Amino acid sequence: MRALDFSIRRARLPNGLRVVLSPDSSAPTVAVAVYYDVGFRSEPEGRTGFAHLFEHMMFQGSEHVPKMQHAALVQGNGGSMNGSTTPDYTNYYQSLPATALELGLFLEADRMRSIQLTEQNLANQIEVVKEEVRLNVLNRPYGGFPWIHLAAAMFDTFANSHNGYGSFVDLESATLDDASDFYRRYYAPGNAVLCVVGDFEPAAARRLVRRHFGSVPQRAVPARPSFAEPPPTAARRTRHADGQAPTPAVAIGYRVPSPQDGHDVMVALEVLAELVAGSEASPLTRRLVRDTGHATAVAAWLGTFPGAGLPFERDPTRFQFLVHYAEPAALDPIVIAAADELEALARGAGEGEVRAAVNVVLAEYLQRVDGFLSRALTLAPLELLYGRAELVNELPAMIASVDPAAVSRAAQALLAAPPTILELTTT
Amino acid sequence: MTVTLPPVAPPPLPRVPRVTAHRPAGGPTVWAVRKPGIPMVEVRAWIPAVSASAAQSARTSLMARTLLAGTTDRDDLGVAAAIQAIGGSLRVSATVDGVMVRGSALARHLGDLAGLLGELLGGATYPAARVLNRRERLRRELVIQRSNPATVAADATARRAFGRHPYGLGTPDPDQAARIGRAALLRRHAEVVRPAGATVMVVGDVRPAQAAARVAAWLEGWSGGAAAPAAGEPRHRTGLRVQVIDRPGAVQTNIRLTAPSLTRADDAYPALSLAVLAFGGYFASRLVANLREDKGYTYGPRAGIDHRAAGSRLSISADVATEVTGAAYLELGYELGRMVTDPPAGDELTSARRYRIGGLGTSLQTQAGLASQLSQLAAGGLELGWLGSHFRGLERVAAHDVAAAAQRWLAPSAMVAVLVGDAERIVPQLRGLADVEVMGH
Repeated sequence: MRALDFSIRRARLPNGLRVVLSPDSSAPTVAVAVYYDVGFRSEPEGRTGFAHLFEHMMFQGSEHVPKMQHAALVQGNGGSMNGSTTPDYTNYYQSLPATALELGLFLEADRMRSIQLTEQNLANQIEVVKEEVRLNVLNRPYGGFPWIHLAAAMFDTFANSHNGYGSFVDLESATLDDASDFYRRYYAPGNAVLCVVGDFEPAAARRLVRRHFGSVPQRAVPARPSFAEPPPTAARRTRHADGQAPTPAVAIGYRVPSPQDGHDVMVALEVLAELVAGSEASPLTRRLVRDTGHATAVAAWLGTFPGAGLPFERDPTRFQFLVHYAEPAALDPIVIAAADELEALARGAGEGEVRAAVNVVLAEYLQRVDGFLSRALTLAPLELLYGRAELVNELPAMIASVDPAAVSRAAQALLAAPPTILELTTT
Repeated sequence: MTVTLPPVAPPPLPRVPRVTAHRPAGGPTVWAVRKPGIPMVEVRAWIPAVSASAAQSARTSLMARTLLAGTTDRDDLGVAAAIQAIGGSLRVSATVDGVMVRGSALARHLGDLAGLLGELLGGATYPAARVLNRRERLRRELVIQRSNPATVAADATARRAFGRHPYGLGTPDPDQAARIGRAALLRRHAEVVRPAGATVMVVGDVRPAQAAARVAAWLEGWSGGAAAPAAGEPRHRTGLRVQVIDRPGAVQTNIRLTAPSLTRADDAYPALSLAVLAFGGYFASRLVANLREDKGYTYGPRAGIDHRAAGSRLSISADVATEVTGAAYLELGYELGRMVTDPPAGDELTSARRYRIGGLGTSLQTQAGLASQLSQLAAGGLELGWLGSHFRGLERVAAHDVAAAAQRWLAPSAMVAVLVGDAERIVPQLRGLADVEVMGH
């Protein structure tokens, strides 16, 4: 296995902005990503969905860039851009021709310095977000399942359990004051990581970063609260009715150790997910889908939204199975099989099945860091959440070193607390 | 305070990678491209296999689903274990035009991957027990797919535009899929999974001449007769009433418009592709500015050109709140009209051009992206060299070319329209805007 050796240059500006530069001249483009250390776990009660709504507002005009101009400048110069909101961070990113690096930095710095908040733009984006929620959740079968409903079933605190897309009542209650408070509180340079990957001279890029971000005033960085809550002491069982779904499904959620406490068990959990349900030959898939026909499809992953080698999420987070099935009577055998297979792995895993799963996780990781943009979207959260962008080069060896004993320890960690069983019913 | 935007020098045209081709007698054509960076290799195989009927479409789908279920040397678990062991993935999917195989592996295992591919394409056995299991899975998955309003809309639009042509078939019928037996799959495999018309592509950390020759050698056990026939040219229907597919209680309406379009080989295609981009192909487009960023009717309106082996078509879509369906439909018509009365020029045209060239260039930078570009071109009978001439064509497009393309190919009169939503609430909104017929779901 050839090791990865992506170059990593770190800097910190006087205003607190953390900067990660990773030069690579294999293609004439650059990727620029800014990660803010705030996600939907931090939104206040009565304002569910606000972190995501606010992400939309970041495209509505900044100090020197009117509405629609951000997209016009990025795309009109041959680039692309987007943003996303997750439990623990909100990100903004661009892919650009190398000749447009300074433009990309200017645009990100401009909206880190100040944004234009107007009643009209807020009202407009509330409608757009409601359409996004209708599209992805309300007007389709299995919408938002299981990420929205499993959080509610597994966790108790508002921060961990509420719907990150938000309720329409809360979205419609959002005000400009909410937005400016949120911006002032969480969008400080000291609360962000800037990552640039691609075709540039490091010294020149550092100069450009200083030119554009150096003048963004330092602002107080909020203390990050702990969102920890104790694992459940008894098994939980809940239901979510989905009248649009033609057949039922079940999500089974397990608490995992804190991702901050040690990388080894997290990487082993990634391998375990692939081992147990990644292929037709995986024990759970083989048993439920192939041999008994109880299930139509089985999946397993770590984190609310899958990460890359390590979860891009802080404690508390989860490991889950998602199983689609047809006959209601199949539910019990499915739940029993999931527990059985984890218990079997907790007792011992086979050398061959672990080696195979390691190879697949490794290959998927390598594919993930092939492109500049997806590499930036790996480097930046590794720096933000773990303070170690270098993990991008270290993860292949960490994945490769997962052995049967490590997989068994990962399975034992899952079984340390009782699971949450969330049924999706068709009525 | 005013600031000057940082200047952006026009980027150079993207470099189109060199393809090494190997054409053994009897096929398949093998293309190999060197793309180091990560120690991986991507493989694609495109096998033309048009489905002439709903029954054939269901058979091709199940064949794709069962192709990995066994060979004379290994059963389905053996195939799955072999793929995992090389850090690989291997997926087979069916479209109305044919079968696409997508695979990857750690680069040092290219031989294993190609060998396995040859074994499967040359000798998949479709074991009876596996067919029974997978046809039931396919049936259930098709039921789920068909419950999605986006699928309902896509199928209805295809049926409306293409009638009985294969391109009107849509998602296979679940019950039809559930009745197919092993013999029918073996027959279908023998009919269409033939090396003669196929293209096998290798992209990655490889030496291309050597890789192409070796992959061809690994596939030698794969044999068969002449390539399966392609689809005939579709006749795209126009002048139809707007079809409303009733989905009682739906909180959104899926609006779909479609019209015949130019193929990638046409001289006027670069101009039309820029017209479609400016209209609704990216965030900086007219549809997004109006329907999303001004009116808030929809999250993502979109226009694009879909390419099939025997023809291309324009697709326009917007999923809008039920209560603004009529208003959104009106704005779509207004923006189509404005493409003729006020066609894109100046900065609007430059922006679309740079976005198109930049996006295609970026798509070539990863192994998976390049493999995907290659395979999409192969499925349309084109080679990677097409991209170079497309870039030059895009550079030459003038405003009057875009205006002419928009006038000819974005005319509202050529559109077939389908709306999936709550008929009781949306039909009254369309009164005066469209002549409507309502269908059950």
